[in-house]
Amino acid sequence: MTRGDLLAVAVAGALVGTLYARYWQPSIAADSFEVRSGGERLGRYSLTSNQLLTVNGRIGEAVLEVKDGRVRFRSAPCRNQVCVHSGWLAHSGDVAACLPSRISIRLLGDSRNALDGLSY
Amino acid sequence: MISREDRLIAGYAALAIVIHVLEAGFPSPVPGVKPGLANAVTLIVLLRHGWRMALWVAGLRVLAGSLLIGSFLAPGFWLSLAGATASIAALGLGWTWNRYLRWLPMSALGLSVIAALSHMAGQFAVAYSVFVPHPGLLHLLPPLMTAALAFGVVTGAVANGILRRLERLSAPPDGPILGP
Repeated sequence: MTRGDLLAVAVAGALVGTLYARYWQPSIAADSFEVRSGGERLGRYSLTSNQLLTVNGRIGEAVLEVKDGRVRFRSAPCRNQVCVHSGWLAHSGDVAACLPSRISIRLLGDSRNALDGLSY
Repeated sequence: MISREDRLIAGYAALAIVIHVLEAGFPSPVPGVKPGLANAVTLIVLLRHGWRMALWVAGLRVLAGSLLIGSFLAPGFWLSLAGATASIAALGLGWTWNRYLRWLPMSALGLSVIAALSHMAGQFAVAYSVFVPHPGLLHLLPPLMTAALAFGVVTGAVANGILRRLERLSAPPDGPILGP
């Protein structure tokens, strides 16, 4: 193996590594999200407008924060705050839920870009 | 008039076509992933006879190989053609590199790696822009390129091994030619 080979393999390895960093993650960004409370669909909201939403759940109010194409539970009435700790969600298919107050959000992507499956 | 060069091209191309057809018989877990051992022949021709002959051998392999497999002008053929075009172009660059940067030469191994990655990139570019223009396809790119890198190293090592043996066979000006 010559030094030139080492250089070629190193550059190729770096390129592949860059590709993983760039593409090996969900890249289909969500553009809206759906809010449910107690099994009932409250509505679909866009991720493009920054806003705070207050949602009434079974045990109190939860506040959703929409900012820069992402959404999170800013506060929730429950005790263990699992939904708040889910953090910011931005990808199509992501979900977060506050089970005690029965509030959930689900992110929706561009349906033209979403495939059910791929076969060759 | 058939020159000595023509006969060499025909012989090497025939070898490459056999490997190409044998490889096509193996099932592949992911479309587009193939060991690409036929490229070892291209590399050997490149290093022993230059880029122009390598271009002929690679071109003939893609054309005749696809006719034999029955994929001529089918989607797989265009992918194969795009890959072969990209990889032979990369080999041309590598060849030029070796000529002008003699202090940092690449053996068949380095050349094979850049050819394999270019092959995959060319294939992928056609697949993505023509056949499946869906962003989800981009998720396949990193693992495909990883496979290309791994198989590129393997093919290059194989080509290096064969080249060493060929040199040993053709080096002694006289005396009996012995096996390895």
